[in-house]
Amino acid sequence: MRLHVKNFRSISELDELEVAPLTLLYGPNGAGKSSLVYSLLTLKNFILNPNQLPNGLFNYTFANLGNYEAVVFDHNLANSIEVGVTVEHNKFKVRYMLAFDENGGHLELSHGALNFKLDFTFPYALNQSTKGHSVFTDLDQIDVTWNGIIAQVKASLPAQVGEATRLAESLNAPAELLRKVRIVPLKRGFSKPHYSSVSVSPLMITEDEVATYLSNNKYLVPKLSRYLERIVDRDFRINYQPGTSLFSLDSTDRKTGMASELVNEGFGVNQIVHFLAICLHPDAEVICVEEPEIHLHPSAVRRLAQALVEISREECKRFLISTHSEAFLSALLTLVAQGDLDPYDLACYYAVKDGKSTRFERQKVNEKGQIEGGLVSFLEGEMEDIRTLLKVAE
Amino acid sequence: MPSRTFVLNEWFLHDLQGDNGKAAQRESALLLERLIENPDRITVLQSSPWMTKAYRLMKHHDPLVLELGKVLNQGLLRDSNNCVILGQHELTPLPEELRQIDLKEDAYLFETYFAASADLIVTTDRRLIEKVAAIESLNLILRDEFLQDYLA
Repeated sequence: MRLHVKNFRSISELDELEVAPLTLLYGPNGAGKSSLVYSLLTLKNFILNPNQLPNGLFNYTFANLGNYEAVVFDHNLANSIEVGVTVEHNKFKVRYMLAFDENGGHLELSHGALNFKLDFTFPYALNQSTKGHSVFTDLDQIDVTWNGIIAQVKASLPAQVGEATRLAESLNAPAELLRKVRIVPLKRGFSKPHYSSVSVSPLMITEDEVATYLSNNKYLVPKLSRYLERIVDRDFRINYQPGTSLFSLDSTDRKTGMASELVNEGFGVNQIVHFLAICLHPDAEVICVEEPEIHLHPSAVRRLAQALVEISREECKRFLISTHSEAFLSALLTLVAQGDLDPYDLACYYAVKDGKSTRFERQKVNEKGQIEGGLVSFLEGEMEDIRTLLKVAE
Repeated sequence: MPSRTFVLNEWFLHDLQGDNGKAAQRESALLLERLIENPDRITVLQSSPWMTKAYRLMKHHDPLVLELGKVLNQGLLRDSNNCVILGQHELTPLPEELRQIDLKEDAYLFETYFAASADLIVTTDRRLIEKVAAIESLNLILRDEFLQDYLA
């Protein structure tokens, strides 16, 4: 999966950023790491509901970025925001792009020699469509209609039904993937001793939604508990109060046998449960998370890195992670050096500001767990300390 | 200037650890910083005495040494642009003329040098330089001379 972003907050132009099974974004505060995640959520919002004004696309429930002028690069209304993804499906690269301004824009879908472009105005009620013209000899009889979100493929001959189905799957792959993008915001965790069921929205952001989701999924709880035990040596379970609709999210310290509600655990443990619940959701394929290591002890950070590698492999998930933790990155590099993580499955980007604009520098990882450019972005403080302690002049 | 590859003998780690006094520690800290900034590289061998000493440095009790160890690890050893890490299986046999010389525990430095096609071995051992002086394919320099030039 690759991301393309233009004129979104501080990202003036990002031609292509590969989202590997584990993709790390790091860099100073305000460098633009979150902007990348928000751009992906904006595209997801459009896919879920194009029939809204552009300002609605920037409302992610946990954060509302405001109106178009607040979000467009340099607050310049002459700029058009572009967000797109390229996915590989059935050996084809399928590219989906959304370009828009305050009033409307256009959508593009390309798949091999098939190219679609559709203009729209906000709110877009999916009431337009465009037809595809195939250049493949064996697809001559296959008609494609695309409304900007969904491609419908019709085979004229029975022999081409299989081919048409595969083509439809490929053309709809970007939209399907975008539906499976999930965000785990920085404000997470459980703050109540008891919960009762609420309706769960597609983004599943609030603690009540996540608690409800957990209470309704008896198969997820043991899986989550297993990962939690590995990361922080505590199990997880749900206790239902007989005769009421209330339930509590509880945890037991494996060493002491001491049980408590999550709200009475440290925040490190508490937030990890919230994070694991979202990332183990079967409908979550790309999980965007801000600082998953927050409030964890460095040794737990290492175990978290191991758990994420395992989840990405066994559950087929991709993680887009923003972090300030060199311990987390270092732990992942060590897993590469040990042969437990393929270097191609770890994409590391250093986000840095060039004037007003964010640049994402890819730091390639080799099989020995080394990274191009080292971890110097995390070491500015240490270098300063050393100069001071050794009385070295600048 | 094109990038060069150095084999730094264990003096570098002793310096950083403070074993050779504050002045040497300061010089080696500056060298560490310069190596991170410059396109030059060092080459190190896994499971070698050098690596054992580097590991010791990284878990030292002194806060300054601990920070130097962290910078050494994350800024230099972790950087594929600045450090070539060789596995024991990547070593090649030493040239015949060098095998005739009794290099004792320094043999791994020369094995690293040849396996990484390094440009220079930097050492504090004057006798070692004299021992291999006749071998043209080798390029050795004393630490002080190297630092005088490199940190200038």
